[in-house]
Amino acid sequence: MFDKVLIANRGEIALRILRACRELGLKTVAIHSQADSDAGYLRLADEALCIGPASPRESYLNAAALLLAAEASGAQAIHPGYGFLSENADFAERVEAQGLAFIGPTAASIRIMGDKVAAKRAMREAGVPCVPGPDSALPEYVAEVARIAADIGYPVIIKAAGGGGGRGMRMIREEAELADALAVTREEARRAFANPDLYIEKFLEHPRHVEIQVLCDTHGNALWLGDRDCSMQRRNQKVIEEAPAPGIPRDLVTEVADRCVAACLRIGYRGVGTFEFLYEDGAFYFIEMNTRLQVEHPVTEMVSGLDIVQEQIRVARGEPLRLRQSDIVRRGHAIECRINAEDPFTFTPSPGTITRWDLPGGPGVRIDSHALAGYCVPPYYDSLIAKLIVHGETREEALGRAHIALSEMVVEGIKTNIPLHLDLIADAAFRAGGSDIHHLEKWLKTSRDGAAAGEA
Amino acid sequence: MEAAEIEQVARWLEEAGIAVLDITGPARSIRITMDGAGTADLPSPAVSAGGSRAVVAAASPGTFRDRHPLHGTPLASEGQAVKAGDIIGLVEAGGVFVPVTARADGTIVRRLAEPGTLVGFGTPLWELAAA
Repeated sequence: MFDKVLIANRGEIALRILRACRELGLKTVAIHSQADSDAGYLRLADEALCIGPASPRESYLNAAALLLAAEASGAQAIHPGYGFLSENADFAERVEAQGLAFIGPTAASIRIMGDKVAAKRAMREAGVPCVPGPDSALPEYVAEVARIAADIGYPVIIKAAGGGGGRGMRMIREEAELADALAVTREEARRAFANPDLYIEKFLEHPRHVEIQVLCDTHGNALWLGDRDCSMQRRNQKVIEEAPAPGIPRDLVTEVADRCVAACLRIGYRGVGTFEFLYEDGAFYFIEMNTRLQVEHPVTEMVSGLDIVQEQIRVARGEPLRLRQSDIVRRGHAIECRINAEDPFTFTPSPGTITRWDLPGGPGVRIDSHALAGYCVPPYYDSLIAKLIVHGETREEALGRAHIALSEMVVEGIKTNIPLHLDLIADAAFRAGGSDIHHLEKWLKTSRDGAAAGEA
Repeated sequence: MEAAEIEQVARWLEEAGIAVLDITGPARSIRITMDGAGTADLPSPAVSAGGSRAVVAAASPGTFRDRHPLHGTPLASEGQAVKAGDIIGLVEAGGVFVPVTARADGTIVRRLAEPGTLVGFGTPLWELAAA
């Protein structure tokens, strides 16, 4: 059983994992790139070790350097966080081959879920509802694909089996568009994912993005911890997440979540994971499973009272779950705003030195952030600098707290998307709850056109 | 191959009097042609602004060793003259010893890290005065 963890990530999630390890009494090794040498959280770790230059490929994505750092520092486990190598099956395999614990699922689980066709087949077999369409790769000939598409009914969407997270997909409204779309998407898939396989699904017009958080140990126990609505997205990047998903019958959520748990037991899943669904007209459709800790895990922590990162580390140490499904009680409502270092309207990244950093507080307000006044946001990585999470007894109370907290937060020296969040929290459709995944893009277009008209 | 490694290879070619080197791999190929002019003045990226002092840093995380565990004598010591490519230290991780090499001819001025300490990418190990 390990007692020293190497944190193979950076920024807010590195600090989040560091805190969980410290509470569990585990020693920590914080690795970093040269660009992150001045990050404040490094001094909180037992050891900090630079593993490469700023470029992610040579540092946070450099498996060889990470493994050397683990060897050199005597860490017996690696926590990959999210992004970077967190869903890289080969990396998970190398970590375990070196005799270290990978704090995540087995390489086999990552591999199945990374192949979207295999994942869909596994989910169907486990009785998880999926988007209409075959759970096999598309045939080579356009005429055969056209027959399948006609069976499903237009519009359809073709996706790369190796894709995910909104990458490598194309929507098709009618048969005339099919041949070109197939050729282009297949070529993109070959180049971007080194896997030319495609699959086809019914295209849902107005879905919401709703997901189920699961937690599994290595003793045959699996739990679902809660549901989240992450429909507020721009270019497939989540902006605001909340728990629970508003306006969905609880017995329906429970039924789908129970099937996710059954699927976990069936595939021998280990650790934390998220089943992502599209939700439209009262029905859930599985799209993919994320085999890692997610950015938005805190909203589930706020309503369940659990520390998901600590639980994840405990099961990686081989401990059996200390909870049963009936012990998990969800209370109130939580909302998370992702605060990015970017222009709130053009979305251009805004790296640089933070000169003022006033954080909100009070009951039901939580900030997960590695930033400090004087901290320089490097230009090489994701622009997420803080997660503002609020909890209230009701959704209305949470919305009120989100508004007050956002208005208290002052960041100077760089631009942030706080003004966008303030507008969104005040938006009538968001306040009503249940808007679809296209809402934010449409809202941005309308408000921008409105602003342009106002200026004219 | 990094720019510094290409430069190292170029220096070896110059010393050996080889005019052309072709390396072909599965994904790329590299050709170094020595035109005989100015190659002796190739700038070293590790040389500091003064042009006479250079710092040799660790290229990977590990424990800094000034000698191989089977050998009693250090690989380099202060005041010693070294040639480009000479091994002047080791960085150990999990039983693997990664050599630390001098990038240019020169003299070792001083050691900047204690043997036995954990070093990361970029940790300064030796200061060299260029020849």
